[in-house]
Order: sequence, then structure tokens, then C-alpha cells
Amino acid sequence: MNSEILGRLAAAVRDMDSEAVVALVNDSLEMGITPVEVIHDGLARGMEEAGVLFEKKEYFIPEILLCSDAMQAGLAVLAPHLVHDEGKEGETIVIGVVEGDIHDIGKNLVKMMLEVAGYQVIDLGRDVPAPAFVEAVRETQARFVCLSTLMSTTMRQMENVIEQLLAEKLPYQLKIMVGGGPVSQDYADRIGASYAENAIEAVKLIRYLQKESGH
Amino acid sequence: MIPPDEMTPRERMDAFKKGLPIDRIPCAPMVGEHVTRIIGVPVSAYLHSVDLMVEAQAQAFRYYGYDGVGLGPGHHGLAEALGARLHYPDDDRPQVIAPAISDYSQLDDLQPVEVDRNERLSSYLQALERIRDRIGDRVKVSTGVGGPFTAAAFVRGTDDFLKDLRRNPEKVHDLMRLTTASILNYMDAAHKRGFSCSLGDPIASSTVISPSHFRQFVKPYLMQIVAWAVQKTGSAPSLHICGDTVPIWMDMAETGVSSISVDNQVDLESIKNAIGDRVALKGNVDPVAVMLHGTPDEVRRAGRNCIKQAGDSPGGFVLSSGCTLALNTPRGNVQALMDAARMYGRKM
Repeated sequence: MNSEILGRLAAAVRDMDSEAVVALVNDSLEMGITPVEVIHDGLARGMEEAGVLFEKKEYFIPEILLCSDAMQAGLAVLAPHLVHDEGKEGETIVIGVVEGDIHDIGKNLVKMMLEVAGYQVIDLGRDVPAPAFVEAVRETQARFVCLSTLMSTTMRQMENVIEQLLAEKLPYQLKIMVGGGPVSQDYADRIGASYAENAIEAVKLIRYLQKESGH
Repeated sequence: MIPPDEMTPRERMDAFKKGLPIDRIPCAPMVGEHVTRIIGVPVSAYLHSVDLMVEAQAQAFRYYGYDGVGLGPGHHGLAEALGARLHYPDDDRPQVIAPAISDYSQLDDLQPVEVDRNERLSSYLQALERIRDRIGDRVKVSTGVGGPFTAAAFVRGTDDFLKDLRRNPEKVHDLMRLTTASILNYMDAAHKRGFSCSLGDPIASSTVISPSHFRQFVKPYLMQIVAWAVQKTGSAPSLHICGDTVPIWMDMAETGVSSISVDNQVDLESIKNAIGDRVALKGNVDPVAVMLHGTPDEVRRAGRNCIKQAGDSPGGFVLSSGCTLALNTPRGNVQALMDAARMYGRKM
């Protein structure tokens, strides 16, 4: 039934099989399964399984990238069907790689996991100057900002972004999350941010922070 | 308080290579472009000027007195020579902003680099000769180049390259042959001028690819390079792979490299027990948490800890950072690492 085909869809994502994903998404839609279900119980489930394999060191970056491609292929099929369903569900999150850094695999993984989890993600891309983060938050009134960097030399930019965001004196509490190779819990504590070690932890963290602030 | 050296860096490393007695554990932090901070010039200027390369390297050596001076195209320079487009920020290391090829049909147009026809690659060797003229009597001057896998990733575009390991393995091998041939050409040019050449292949670590992919796509080419080096120059190069290398130590040792340099995730005592009898070891103070953000005391303690773990390694041990230092690493911290070798690494 639903769970059977969605189970196979999840497996196809996990197995990096873009063709199978596209076929199974189409089949699911034909069966009348809602796009939201297809994402949550099919695509997202598959990506989560891939994440578990990554944590167990059975999957590495190439495999995650290919799973991500498979999932993107599925999302592309769903895109025209999502407009009506998704609407305004999902908290807005601003994400980007800080200025001076162009490494974005990690950021893209987090973005994808967040989108799949139902969040509305404003992706500023990479090498993003601090004012651009501020602008995006101002425009969208986002409560969450995710900063990423892979280089120790650009970590300082995170503090810069935080400083500029605090200077905005927003009428609500903004939560800032940081991540990336050289970033650590210690560092996050020091600069007044929350820390997630990887994309899966990032989703868990945001859910936790949402609950904490009563959302 | 700090025992003085009884040998020059040159004497120390010559003896070290031969397995003869030395006064203390050698110390050679991976300074990279941090040397520009000693003379206060932009990194981009340094990387494009033989004069500045010479001045920065000579001054930095004079300042710190470490046991090896190294300069080379690294992985970015090699990729650039093969056609990747680099961005040279004033104040940071170069970044690849466009790969050399957008699809494999263009691969046929690429040839292995020829150093004498490549101005940028030649400039490193020119600088090295002048640096050696100036300080080579006191310290060994050598060069370094990126490894074949990282170079291939930059030529192709890293994301696509990594995906190609599964979706287009034949082309990955074609790329690896191209980068390997280029590396051999550079090593040959360096050797003709009397410089040994080390390899650094960060994208080959187990942080990025599986050990199985390492064995399939990286190891055979490293073995080729080592075989060439041993046959042509009489010695094997050293290999640095930062990130997690625990699952591939044995494979790295099996390539025949003379020395393995590891990052801070690696437990030095474990790697010493596993392969310390077959290769020299180098590492592995955390370049960010300790070298960049720590106090000199923390640096000294970390250095002492490394020496405690691997100072007695049968194949030899060189104290170093786990990876290239951040440009703004406080000078006091680099100095503290040198002091740690003197304070805790005495051998005579």
C-alpha cells in the first residue's frame, strides 16, 4: 500500500538510484499519495537512512552527494504538485556559507535536510557578506540563521554576522546556529550560538530550539 | 629553561634521515602562507612574486628556526597549471572557482603539465633555488605538490568528481593518469634542481571518501609516484593527508612513502604502534583549536603530548601541526611548538 511504495522510494534514495526515484514518485502520485507524504515518508526517510549510513561510516561524501541527487530528482517531479500543499507551512530559516568561503557541500546538505523536514529555507549561497544575512533576516523575519564555514580563517566571519544581527535589535529572539569543519561546541558557546555537528543534528537542533521557544 | 639546540636544522634532518643520533625531536610546523605574516605582505602578492616568496621564507625561517623550509604549488597550483581557475584573495589561500573541464569530452585536450613551459610552476622552483642559496646551509629546503586525487578533483570540479567515482569510474582513472603524470613532471623538474618533493592529498582522506575508494582510485597512483621517486631520486616522498586517515594508514604505508603526516583526529600512539616501524611519522597538534586559538601553554602541552605518544617511534617522529596553519596563527604559538620540541624532545 502507501507504506510499501514509500518504503521502496526511501530505499531508492538511499541506494542512489535517481531513475527509480523518479519512477516511484510518479507511481506514488498516481496512487493518490499526497506530495507531503511522498517527501516525509519517502524522500526524507531515504535521506535520513543515508545519513545514518554516513554516521556509521558506511557512506561517505560521494554517496551522500548521489543520494542527494536522487532526492533532488524526486523533488523535481513533485515541484509542480507542491505549490498548493506546502503554502506557508514551515518555519523560515536563513542559511549560508560565510564571506570568504566557498565550500558548500555541508551547507547544501543541511539546506536539503531542512527543506525535506518542511522548513522554508532561504539559501544565500556561499561567500555571503554579513550584511546579506542581516538583509535576509530583516526581509523574512526569520527566527533562525544557520552559518557554515569549512575554513578556520573565516570562522571570525561568524562572529561578525552575529554582531551585526544583534545590532539590528530585532523584536524577537533570533537563534543562530553554526557548523562546519573547524567549528566546535566550544567555539559556538564562546560566540553565543548553537552548534550542530552535521545535517541530521541540525534538523534535530532546530526542532529542539523551536520547542524551547514555545513554537 | 629551554635547552639550546646543538645541531642546525640541516644537520639534524640529515642525521634523522640516516637514522643517526640527533639532539632533539625535529619540529616543522606546516606554516604554508603564514610566512607572509612575518614580512606583512598580501598572500596574493606573495604567490605571484619570486622576490616575496624568497624574502618571506627566509625571514620566517630566521624568526622560527624550524627544521624544514618548504614551498611549492601545492594542490591549487597544480590544478591551475591544468586549467582550473583560481581566485587569489589578498588575505587568504587561493580557492578554485572554476574547474578545468565541464565535461569529459574536454579531457582529451588536457596534457600533463610541463614545468619549463609553465611560468607559475617554474616560479616556485626559481624561488626555491634562491631560498636555498640564502639559507640552505642551515636548513633543508624542499618543495611540495598536491596529490593526484585532490588535483583531479579540482580539474573536474569536486562535487562532480566525487560522484564520478561511482557513476563514471573509467573517466576518474583517466583523470588520475593525467594528474599523476603532471606530478611526476613537477617532481622531475624539482629533482633536476636538487629538491625533494612531498605530496599532500586532502580530498583522499576518509573524511571524504571510503577506504575502498581510496584503494581503488588513489593508492595505485600514489604507488606509481613512489616507485618513480625511488627509482629516479633514490628516496620516497612524504605524504600528508589531513582529516581522518585511521582507516587507511596501512594503505598509506603500503604505498611506500617515507613519511606520513597526520591530522589531530589521529591517535599518534595508535599509528605509531601500527606502522611506526615502517615509516617516519609527523604531526599532529590541532591547527585550529590549539595552534590558532590556544595559549602558548596549551601549545606546549599539546606538543609534549605528541612527543610522549610518538617520540620513540622506531621510524622516527617529527613534531608538527596536524595540517597547514591558519594565516593568523599567533607567532607566540608557533614559537611555543618549537620550544616544546626543545623542552620535551631532547634525545642527547
